[in-house]
Parts: sequence; C-alpha cells; structure tokens
Amino acid sequence: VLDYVAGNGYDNERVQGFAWGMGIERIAMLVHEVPDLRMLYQNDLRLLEQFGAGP
Amino acid sequence: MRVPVDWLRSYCDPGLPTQGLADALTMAGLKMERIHHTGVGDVSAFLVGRVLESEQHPNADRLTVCRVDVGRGEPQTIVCGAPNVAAGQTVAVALPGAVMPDGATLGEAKLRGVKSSGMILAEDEVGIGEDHQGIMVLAEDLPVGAPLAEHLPIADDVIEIEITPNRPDAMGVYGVARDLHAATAAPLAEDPTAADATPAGSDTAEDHISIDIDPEICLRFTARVFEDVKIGPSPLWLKQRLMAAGQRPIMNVVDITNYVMLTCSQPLHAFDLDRVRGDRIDVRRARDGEMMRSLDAVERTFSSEAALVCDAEGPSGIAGIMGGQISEVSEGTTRVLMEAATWVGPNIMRTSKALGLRSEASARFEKQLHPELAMAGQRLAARLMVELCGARMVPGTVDAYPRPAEPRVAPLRYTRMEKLLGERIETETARGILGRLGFKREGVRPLESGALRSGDPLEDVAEPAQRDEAERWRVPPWRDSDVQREADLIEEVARIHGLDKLPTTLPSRRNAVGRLTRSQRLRRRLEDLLRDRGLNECVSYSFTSPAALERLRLGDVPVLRLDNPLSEDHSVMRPLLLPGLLDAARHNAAHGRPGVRLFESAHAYRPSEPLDAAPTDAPQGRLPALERHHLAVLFTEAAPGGWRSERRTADFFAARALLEAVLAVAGVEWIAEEGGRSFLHPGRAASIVARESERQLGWLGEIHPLVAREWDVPGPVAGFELDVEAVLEVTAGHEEVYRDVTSFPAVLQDIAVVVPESVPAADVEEAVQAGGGELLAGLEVFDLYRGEQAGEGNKSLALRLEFRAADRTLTDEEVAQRRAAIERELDGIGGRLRA
Repeated sequence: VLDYVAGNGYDNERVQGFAWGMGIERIAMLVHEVPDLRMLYQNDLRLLEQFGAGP
Repeated sequence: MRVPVDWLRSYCDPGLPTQGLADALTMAGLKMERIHHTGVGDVSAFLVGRVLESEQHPNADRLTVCRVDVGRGEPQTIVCGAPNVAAGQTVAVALPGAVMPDGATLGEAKLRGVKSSGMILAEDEVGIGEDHQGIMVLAEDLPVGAPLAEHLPIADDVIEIEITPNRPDAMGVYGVARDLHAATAAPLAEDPTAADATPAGSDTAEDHISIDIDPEICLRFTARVFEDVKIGPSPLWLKQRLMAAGQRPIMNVVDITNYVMLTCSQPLHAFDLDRVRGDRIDVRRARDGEMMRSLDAVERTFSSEAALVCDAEGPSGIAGIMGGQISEVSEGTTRVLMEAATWVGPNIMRTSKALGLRSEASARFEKQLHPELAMAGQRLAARLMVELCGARMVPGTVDAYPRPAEPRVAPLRYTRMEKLLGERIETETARGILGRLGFKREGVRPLESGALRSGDPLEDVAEPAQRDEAERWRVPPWRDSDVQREADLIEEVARIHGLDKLPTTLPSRRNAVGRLTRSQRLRRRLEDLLRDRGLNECVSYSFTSPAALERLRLGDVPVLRLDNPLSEDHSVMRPLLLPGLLDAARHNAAHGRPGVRLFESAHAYRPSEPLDAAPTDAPQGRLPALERHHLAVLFTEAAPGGWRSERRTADFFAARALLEAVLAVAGVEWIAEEGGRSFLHPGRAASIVARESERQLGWLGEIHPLVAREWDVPGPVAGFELDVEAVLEVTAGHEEVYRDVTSFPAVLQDIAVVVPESVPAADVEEAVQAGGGELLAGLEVFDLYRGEQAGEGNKSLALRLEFRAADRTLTDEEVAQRRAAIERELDGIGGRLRA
C-alpha cells in the first residue's frame, strides 16, 4: 500500500494520518449481547425481528 | 507463545509479580492472552526429605514402607510404589494437603493397612517431565527439610502472549525478555546465543558433510557436526522449561533443538549423521509427486513448490517445517548433524498450507527470520550439545550463504518523531529505548529522506547539531523484517515509551460541521422506508462463490476475483446483492420460515473498465475496482396472512409497487422497460430505466423458478435491485417546482384499452402519453381485466387520465382531440379503446 500511494504522488514528509481498523460486528456483539459473530451474517428472521421492525 | 515466567526472569527481572510482567509486556505491544499456572499448587507442602529406612510392605509385593525425615520432628511414614526407592536417598516429598499439578489434594491414606503420610515424588508428579519410571533421587548434599521449590522448578506461571506476524523475535523467551528490558529498564542478562562452544579435534565439519543449496528457496544453510554424542534424558531444568513452554521433552539432542528455538526463535534440526546417505545435503525444490515420511509418521507427497532437504539418495526433511523419519535422531545415535537454516517465509507458508502441516518451526520461518540468527542458534546449541550430551564439536561450520544480508540502517530525526507522535520525547529517552531494543547508533548525516545504506558516506559527527538532523540507526537482525524506515523506528520509541502516555487531542479543524452526505441521506431514507413497510434488513458477506453466480446464469459476467480467498465459497466479490438475499431466504426456509421479506443496502463490485472515471481527487490512474452502492429487495410473500387478510404471494406487481414507492421517495421519473436478466422469469421481469436520461438503474421482477429451486427457496420469489449511485446521479440538482393546479380545473376521464397479451402495460402507458401530449398531466393504470369482453388472447387495462392546462380551462373539444390522438397511438401498438 505504501509503495502504491508513494508512487501516486503521496509525499509522506508532507502528509500524515492514522491507519487503523475496527470490526463493527464486534461492537454490535457487545452492545446487543449477540453471542456469536457469525449470527450477524446468517440473516435469520428470529434474530432480525428482535431488532427494528418485526412483523 | 507460552513464556514461562521463571525462565523470563532469568534473563530480565524487573521485580514485578506475574500480572505486572504481563501488563508491562502488553503495554509494549506483546499482548497477554492469559496467564497459566503450571506445576504444583502451594509450594510450601513440598520439601526435601531423606529416606531413613525402607522395608517391604507386609501386604503388598510392589509397595515399600519408608520412614522419611523431612526435618519436622518425627519422620513421616510413607508408602511408596516406585521400584527404585532405597534407604539413604535424598528425595522430593509432598506432605498431606499438598495440591498436585492436576489440582488434586494429597490426603493421608491407608494403603493395604499401612497409613501413609505423604508421597515420594516422581518427576511427572510435579510437572517437570513425563518420566514415571521411578522417584526422583536428588543430590545427596541438599539439606533435609528445605523447601523443594528452592531446588527444583516445581511451580511456575506461564504468560501466554499473542504474537503478531511482524514479531518473530518474540517467539523466543530471550526476545520477550528484551522487550521487557526495554519497557522497564531492568537489566538484561547476556544474550545466551553470544558465547560459542570450544571445538575439539583436528578434523573439520567439511570433512564430514558437504552442502549444496538452491538460493531461491534457501537464504542460508549452516551445519555443524558433533561426535561421541551420548543420547539420554535432558536434565530436569531443561525438561521443566520445555514442559512449561508447551513442548514435550523427548531426549537431550531433540530437546536442545527445541530449547534453542524457544530461546531465540531460530528453529534447528538435528540429523543422525550416520543416516544421512552419501554424507551430503542438497537443498532443492521437490519434484512433483515426490514422497517422504515425516517425523509424525505420515507419508507426505510434495508439489514442486516445496523446498526439501535431501541427502545423496532422496528427501530427508521438509525444509523449515518438519524433519523426515529417515534421518531421525534415536537412542543409538552417536554422530549428529545440526542444521540451522534460513528459509523464504512466503514459500514456507505456502508449503505448510498445501501440506496442512504447521509446526513450531514453520510458524517462525513463515514470519521471515534473518540469516544472522542461524549462527546464533548454532552457538547456543553447540554449548548445550557439549555440556548435556558430552559431545565433541567438530571444528568449523559448513555455511552456505551465497548472498550475505547487508546490515540495515534507518534514519531518525527527532523533529520528525515529534511531528508523528504529537509529543516531544527527549532525545536521551528515545536513544535509551532504541539502545535497549538492540538498535545501534552509527552516527549522523545531514537531513535527507529515504532509506540509507550502511555504506553511504557518513559525516563524522558524534552528535546532531540540531534536532532535525538525521541520526543513523543500525537495525538488529532479529527486527530486520519489521523495522526498515524512519517511521518504524519512531513506532519502536512510541510503543516502549507508552502509547498511553501520548496526549489525546482532537484534530484541529475550524468551521467544520459534520453532516450526512446527500448519498447517505438518501440511503437512510430508502432503508427506513423499506423497514417501515415491514421488511427486514440483511447483512451478508461481500464475497460470494463462483457457483452462486453460475446458479444465477451470470457465468460470463466479469467479476473481481480475490488473489488469496479464504475459501472457494468466498472467492469472488459480489457483482450484485441478490445472491446474499437468496442465501438468507434459503437459511430461513430451512429453519421453518419460508415467508420472508428482506432487503439489503450495501456495496456491489465489479472490475473497472477503461471508461470508468476515477474520482476527481484520485492522484492518477484508474481504479482497481468499482464499488457501487446497491439497494436490493427480495420477498417470497407480498404480505403475511392475518385473521382479516389473505396471505399475498410475491409477484411482479408487488415488487413493482414497492419499487414505485422507493423511487417516488428518491424523486426519480422512471419506466419499466422490457428486458430482464438471466436470473429472472422471462415474462415477469423488467429493467428499471430513468425516464429522461434513459440511464439503467437496475432490475425488477420475479426470480426464475429454476434459480429459486436451485436455492431451495419456495417460489414465487420477487424483488428488485437498484444502483443507488445511479439514482443519485439522475436526480442530482433536481428540485421540485410548483405547478399551478389550483387556478383552472382538470378534466378526468377513464378509458379501457384492449391490447394483445404480448403488449406490456408500459407500452400502453407510453402510447397514451404520446397521444395525450402536454395536456395529459396524469396517467394511472388502475385495473386489469381478462375475459369475454376483451376477447381471446387480449387483456383490458383501465386507465385514469387527467387533462390539464396551466393557463385556461380545457374545452371538451380540446380533450376530444387528444383522445383521438391517443386512439391513433394505441392503434400503432395493436390496441383499441373498449366501448
């Protein structure tokens, strides 16, 4: 990545920034007390209906 | 990496309890995962004892009744089952109440009628080794009654740390100790790999072995030869360290290779030199299909990617991963060839993955070790071979090292450090940190960006005159793959100084107000609309499988393929959201919920094409891929049934009605054009097209029954998918404008149009609009009729027309003219007005 941006006009003497990442799923797990991260991707109605609009 | 605390403290002891050590390491970047306790519980119940008398148990052949002096008044009576117990021995004793490594508490017990108050210990009973042949017989001069823990490592804490791929050096206890030293400034013991053994004899290693390597797969291969090796068990201290670090002790030579690896990260491999055929080692790529039995007794088959260590007749080990049985060290070994090599990390990782075989060695080599470490490992191993196996080290090292690595030098400016970290760290503090981590200051040179090489001209100045001059720092070999640039040096200073000590500030911005972009606002509006209509929002993976695209008949659509997918099922980027929604429908159908109404709002991906414009701010060049925000809906029922209403099945019209609501909110004038997609039901599908720009916005319709069946979703299934960014583009700059509808009244008329079944309603609407011209201000299809009055093969559509002019009241004549024009237009598509 650094080589790519350096080769495309990024001057690291002039520009600096933060590189970081976070997993939004992990935050969602904590907030909503979902025990398994994979459940967030199964799209099971029994889970979805607990959040937002149900039937 | 399991770091035994006693072992760690032998190199660096800041006087902290185990938790304190773990905290210091975590803050320095070596994250503690958990703390284990190994060995016995409270050490106070374990003492040194002396067997005063031992006699045969009256009621049991294999038991001995001993009287043992533990320095506490009356000798203890202990019944012992070990064959080797005898009077006069100094032994390790556990008293009643002692907590054993497995958590059990030792009680007083009657064994065949004799009361036993304690236990004489074998090494496996205190977690030192695995030997249960007999009790441990200790040195005679140990004082009776002394705490056993003072003389044997019977209890230890182990800090398990998570090693990131950039820190192979921390996969050795000394490497961890070095970080602890850097973080706490507690003294660091001399590097255990610094001193070498003394060779003996007049032969040289070259007399015993010749080595040939392929430099593409092997950066360095060093070999030493040991003779008169006495194979046997390792001493207790070595066994205990291995056990605590999670390795089984096997025999001294093998234990030495593991111990060296656990000390300094460099894996070694010991060959029985008498079983290296032809006294030569050839490092080469495997031939496709070549086979060898590895140390774990599995017959392995290799591809040409794998690097093999071969002797004159064939493979003898898998480079960097595991040795072969053919040259395994065994009880009868007397001559050992010790290998310390440096492999190419990515090659080891690929081979290890292909073979499904990961080892402690491969876990280190795949992180790329530096060739300098090979000799460090050899030195420590040689000392242990001489000391523990009584071996004679043959003088010399066979060292195949075709391209010696140059020392790496990185520049460091203190002004740059202050700028990057946002805090001024004193020069002396920073130098102290780098020095403790093993970096060496080589001098100063005037400011110049970019990496420096060791041989570059150097200004002969000991101190930089100003903080913005660059110092030159030599990177130690064990950090070579991680620290290469100025910013990396600064990171080293920051992590040891403490990232938590850096000041927390907000970015300085003036007059900046945060708000959602137009795109974000539209997306939220549309998502809320669908949710409020009772649809459930899904989140699925951005990856999908080629098989799913095949099921959608999208086999020839260009897709983005991942270079390094987690699995075949996640090997391409989704070109549309539909497969994820179908997966969700299948999951729910399989769990008793066949009726679903789902939507997803997320990115879809495709390879960029030459005409795709890069964003205006992009420095240059094309984008590697195009990401588009899509909104997709899929449902298997239009409305759930209730006590008052019938369940409505999904169909084209229900999908269309929902799409109408969505696009009305978005403010798009659109038409449903004929032309479906490969995965849609041919007669019940349409393309969504913006009315004026004729921009394609997406698809609409019923999913092809075959596609639904292949997904195990009970049909009918309908939905649509919109390119939200295209919607934004066609509505950009569009503002609602007032039309005068109050000054003059409108004329409303209903008409019935009979057309052949093959003519879509959209064509009828278009014809009516064309005939009605500007005066036709509104048009709505409100009924569909098939039957006798429409005639066989025809359908009848009922339309409501609204005629209006802004500047006058329309006359009947004007309206009649328009109706005549509409009739003519309808005639052109085979339609007529029904009487």
